[in-house]
Amino acid sequence: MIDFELSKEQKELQAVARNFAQTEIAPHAAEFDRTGEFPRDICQKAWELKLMNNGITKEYGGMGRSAIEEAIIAEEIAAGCSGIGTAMEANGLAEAPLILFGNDYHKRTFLKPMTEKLSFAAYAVTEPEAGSDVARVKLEARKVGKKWVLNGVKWWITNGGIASWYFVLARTEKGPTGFVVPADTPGITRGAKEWNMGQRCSNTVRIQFEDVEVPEENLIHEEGDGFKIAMKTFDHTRALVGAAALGVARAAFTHSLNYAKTRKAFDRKIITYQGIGFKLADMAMKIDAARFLVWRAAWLYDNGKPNAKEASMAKAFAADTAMEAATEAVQIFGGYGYTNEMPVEKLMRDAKIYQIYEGTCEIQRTIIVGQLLRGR
Amino acid sequence: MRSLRILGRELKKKSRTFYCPVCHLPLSLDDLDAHGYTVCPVCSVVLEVVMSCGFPLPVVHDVEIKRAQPRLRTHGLSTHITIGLLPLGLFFGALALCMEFFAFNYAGYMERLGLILFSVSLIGSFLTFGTGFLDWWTRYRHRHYRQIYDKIKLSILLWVIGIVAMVVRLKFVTDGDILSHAFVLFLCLQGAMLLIVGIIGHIGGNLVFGK
Repeated sequence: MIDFELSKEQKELQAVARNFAQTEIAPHAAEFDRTGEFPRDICQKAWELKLMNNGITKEYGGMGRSAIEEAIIAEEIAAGCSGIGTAMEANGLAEAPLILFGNDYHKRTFLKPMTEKLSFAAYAVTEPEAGSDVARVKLEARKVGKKWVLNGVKWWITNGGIASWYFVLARTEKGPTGFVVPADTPGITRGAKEWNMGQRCSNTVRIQFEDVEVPEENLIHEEGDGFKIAMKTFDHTRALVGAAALGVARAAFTHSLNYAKTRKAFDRKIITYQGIGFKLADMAMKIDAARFLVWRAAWLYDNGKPNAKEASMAKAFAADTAMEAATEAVQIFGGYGYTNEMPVEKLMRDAKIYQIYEGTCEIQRTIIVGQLLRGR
Repeated sequence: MRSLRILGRELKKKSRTFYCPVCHLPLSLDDLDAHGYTVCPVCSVVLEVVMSCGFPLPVVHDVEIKRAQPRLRTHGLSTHITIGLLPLGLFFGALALCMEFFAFNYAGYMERLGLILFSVSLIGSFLTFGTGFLDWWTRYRHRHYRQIYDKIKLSILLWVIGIVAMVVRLKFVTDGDILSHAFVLFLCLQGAMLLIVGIIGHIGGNLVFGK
């Protein structure tokens, strides 16, 4: 059966997230973008409203939300400010490997505290020479007695500067392997905040590991399973990143529609000109298409069905839609769109990263083709 | 420092601020008329503000080119004269306090000079208010602007403190007793007035020159 309606609970959750985005996030979005300050106070409010750490199961104090519900929240929050959204949602990315592959010790030690007090975690996989090519990570993990010793560098780690623990993908003799590493472990050095083009209030840093000793119980699943863990994590989170991109696209569309209905040129509202009206129609079509792709990928995940192809489709299409919608929004706003007094300029900068992080749009297409070749 | 920033953000949220897209003056949603329109007091653009995903979108419709800055800036002139006298009055009062210790004979003169300057400044502030009010009525067409309401409220506070200061000086500083607590209080109240004048001046500066 196909149903395009949200349930009553999902609608209520959507209303809570939307209200939070419009009253607590939107009024401060420009300031956080300008200063680059990490939005800890906003995260605190979101945490109190239980809009963070959505995937942690009830057994460990979380909400145990479905991927669809997480997608609903991600879209609403990103429509307020995707930088603040990323600061909030990055926890989910770090938590996913533990939720999917962690044992009871991992969950009690690292996930449960996230539901008791506002804290952050980071997914430390990317390296300077290994971004899209995840399997090539070089950060070395060497077994010394009952401990693992980690050496190397992780790069562009979201929430890396404020995290209390990291999911780290390291290379052992058996290949990429996942570890959970407390951030206060001796030998970890966090770099300075990177000043990015968009999503400027999210905390992105370099992390250096120098003889970092990790107890063997902090290894996730089996040695050499790291690539599988990373890919399974992405099957879950790519739909959510697509949902956030969708939030940016929706914000760009809503601003454009409101502007076009109000602004006049040649004594007529600009929406009455086909050049503008068609842009809005295209945006509306693509946003709806992106939403259905995102929800389908999330639904497949929730129902335990393979969704690698669908998650990649959702992420790539939503990211491209966000970039296109934001660019067109700037065009519709004209000169005003190019100034930083209007929200669309920020949306254009923010949208770009969705075509890059958690797998570039090119990598998503590679995954889709790979799945098609396998007949999936 | 972080707490102050958070407090600032909360206050800003409550004041429902947005920026004029032309001159970047901070405006408030409270400034809008019933139809969602306002005219920027600095650059005179006519704005219609629509809410979009929690963001105020100020859409420019027109420019009121007739409402240029006036040639005779009576408010500016009267403001700067009276503001200039207030710190001088405070300076001579503080000087008189110091002179009580090393040049006792001249302290009284200094104190009286300070008092005269303060009195002229206080009386002048009524003139300043009047010219400012006239400006609001004519140049700004008595539209609702948060900045102007803030200036009016702060001016009233300034008068209250000024009158209290004058009462303290005339009633409790008996026989020119410069070393009395009342005289120190008189000086402190002048200091408070200076602070308020600074804030009013800052808002006024924004209204003339923009952000």
